[in-house]
Amino acid sequence: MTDKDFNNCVDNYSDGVYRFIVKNIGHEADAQDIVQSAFEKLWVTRAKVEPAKAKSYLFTVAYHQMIDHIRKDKKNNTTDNFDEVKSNVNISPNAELKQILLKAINELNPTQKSLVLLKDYEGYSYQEIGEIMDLSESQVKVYLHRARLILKDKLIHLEKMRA
Amino acid sequence: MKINTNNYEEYFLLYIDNELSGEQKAAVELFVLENPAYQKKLSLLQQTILIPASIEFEDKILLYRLEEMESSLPTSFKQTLYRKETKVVTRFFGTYSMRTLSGIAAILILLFGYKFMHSISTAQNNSEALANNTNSIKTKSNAGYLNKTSNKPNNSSISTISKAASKIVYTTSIVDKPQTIIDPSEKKYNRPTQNENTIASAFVITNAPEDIVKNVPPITTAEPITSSEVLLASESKEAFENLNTENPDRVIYIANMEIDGDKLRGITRRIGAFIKRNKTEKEK
Repeated sequence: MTDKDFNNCVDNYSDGVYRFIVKNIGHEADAQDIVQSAFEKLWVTRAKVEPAKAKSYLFTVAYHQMIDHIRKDKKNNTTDNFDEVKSNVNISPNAELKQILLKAINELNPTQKSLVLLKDYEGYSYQEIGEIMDLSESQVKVYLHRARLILKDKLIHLEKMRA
Repeated sequence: MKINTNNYEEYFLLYIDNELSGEQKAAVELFVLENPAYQKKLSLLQQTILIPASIEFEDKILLYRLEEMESSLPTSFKQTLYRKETKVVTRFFGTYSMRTLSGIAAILILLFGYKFMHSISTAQNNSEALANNTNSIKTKSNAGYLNKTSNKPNNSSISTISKAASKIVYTTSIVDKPQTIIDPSEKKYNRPTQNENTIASAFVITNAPEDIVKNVPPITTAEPITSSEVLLASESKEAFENLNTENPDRVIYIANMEIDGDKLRGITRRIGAFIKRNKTEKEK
């Protein structure tokens, strides 16, 4: 990977990595730190990384750093606060359903949340998600389906509440 | 595998995750069309899909790697900044001014050395002259004393005087000029002892009567010498001993300090050679 390739990665993938992290941990500053660390690692190992695999490499690094961050955060007894992100993220004002869905996603465990985000935001396949998260394809499939059903139940519950 | 009411959920989940092939997708869509009751279930699952929010990483400038940021200094420039701790070797005669000063110092040393050596030689000459005077005085006094003692052969002190003394008595009595006594003695001290004896004996033989010659045998080292005689001989010998410049074990005494003459000579030679070398370099 050349310097130009690296800067192209910044242009193309930094938003996605940041979005993935900030949606997971719900803290912008920490998410920025994680993204910077991920790109720093990519720069250091740029000679070994092919440009075609740079995106998955960035997500992999960012995901593992995020897991470390979450573990440290749990030790410090701090909780994810998705509402903090809500005020800073441009969300469509008419998407009430989206707000409910984001709240429901926030209640998922970190793995399920990451699976949903990687799938819906980035469009990764099960195999790619498995590579990023160190899971098998079947595990990704099972965990992600469980998450979808949980979200579906929450939506059904919400509709019942409205009704 | 065909979609049915038992496995539809898995197909629906794979459908919304875009994990089905085109044919499978078409099969799911056909199933929903054939079973409208399952359309709502599929739409509920589709609602669980997050629509990507327009979130941007604003500080991309922190992530870019520009050439100016990563540009490294050339090694040649870095080498000019390096500092290596080295031992500073100062050459005493390295600079021109030091060479000039050392040359002047060498000349001064030579001048003082010459003056010093000259003073030593003059002091030796003075002491030699003084020794001559004292010797003549002593000889005179001895002569007088011996003359007196020769007149008093019964005195016990006279018996200690050697036969050499009587020899001098004899010569003085014959020549009857005290000044002349000094001249042969001076010559005698500069000669080896063997010649001295022979001359003394010859002198005695030529001038003395035979009976006295018999009584005055030539002076030999085996003969017992009295204290006064030893004192006289040693004083006169030291006073008249010349400085042998060819002697390798030459030692110069300055007060109580002993200086090796060879070393001093070596130093002067080196200084001379150095000055000569500087001169040739300048000429070049």
